[in-house]
Amino acid sequence: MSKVKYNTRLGNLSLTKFKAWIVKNHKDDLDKAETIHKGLVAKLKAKSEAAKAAKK
Amino acid sequence: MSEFCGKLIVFAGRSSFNSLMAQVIGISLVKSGNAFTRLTFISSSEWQTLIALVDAMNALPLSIKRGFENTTSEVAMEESNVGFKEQTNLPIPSLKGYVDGNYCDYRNLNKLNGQEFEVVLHLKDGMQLGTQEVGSTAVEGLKATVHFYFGLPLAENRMQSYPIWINFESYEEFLNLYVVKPTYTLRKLLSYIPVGMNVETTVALSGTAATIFVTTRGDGAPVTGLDADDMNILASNADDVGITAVVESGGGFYIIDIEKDIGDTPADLDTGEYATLQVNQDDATNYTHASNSETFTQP
Repeated sequence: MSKVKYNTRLGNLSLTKFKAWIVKNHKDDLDKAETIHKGLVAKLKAKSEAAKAAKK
Repeated sequence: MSEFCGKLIVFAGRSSFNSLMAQVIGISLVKSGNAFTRLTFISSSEWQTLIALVDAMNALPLSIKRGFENTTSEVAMEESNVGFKEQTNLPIPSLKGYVDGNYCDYRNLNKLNGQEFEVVLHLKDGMQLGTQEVGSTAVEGLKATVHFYFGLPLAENRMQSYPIWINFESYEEFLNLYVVKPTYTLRKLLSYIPVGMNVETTVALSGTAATIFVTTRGDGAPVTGLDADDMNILASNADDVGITAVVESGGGFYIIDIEKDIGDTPADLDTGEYATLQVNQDDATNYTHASNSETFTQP
């Protein structure tokens, strides 16, 4: 598991952009980039659904 | 009819109930634009939302159990040169209180020096005072400018270590007080305030990274388990700034990545660009912990 905790908002980046960013900032996680990105996208989705539900 | 020429005289009867106002033991600073209704003014859940809601902390109750002084000027009765007296000044109420807390709390309160707030007063007998404009359904705090100023510790009275001055803006609001006794106590409101944390920079920002040390303000214990979503940028002169990643080094130390344009192409801040950080923890609805703010500037 990665030691780095990423900001959920990075899930807004395309996978290509996310990978380019990982290479620059946390290249040890490059092999896990897709899994991390997937997790961030899912977290972002869950957050926005929770916000929508709270508004109702 | 002009009030300079005369006023309608109304004798409005007398109540059979006599009561005294209790001392002020607490004050809540409410950011402008957060009016209550008569119902929400005494709703503890409404207060909790104002005090601790994620991304919207809009009220701060403070206990002044260490002391209260009414600093309102005396009404002046001037005497004419033929010996008759009339009221000639219109003093606006003001108070000085001594805040319950510690030096770190007070240092953070100092950043509010000179700010305007709507101030709700909490009395010793549990009563709560706001103001309700005639013809309005909104109940608000009394508009005031708040001052903090730290001097040397007071050897003669240590209870007066952390003074707060509240200078109200309108006498009229005191003529339209809304006085009510809620079911909760001031202590309950104080319990809604997020637990204070201290954030210090241990390695200044250079490129992307900086290192911070986070402790609980009360006991100095290191705060562990924070992640990037707990780090909030309050202000910056760059666009779309955020903490993109956090690496916990242990013992309360964190290496944080501060970048701009994080929604598109994250990049280092340019020279002279800054970001002001607050660390918060929440229970998904309300903040449970909140830190001081810490500013990082790209050298």
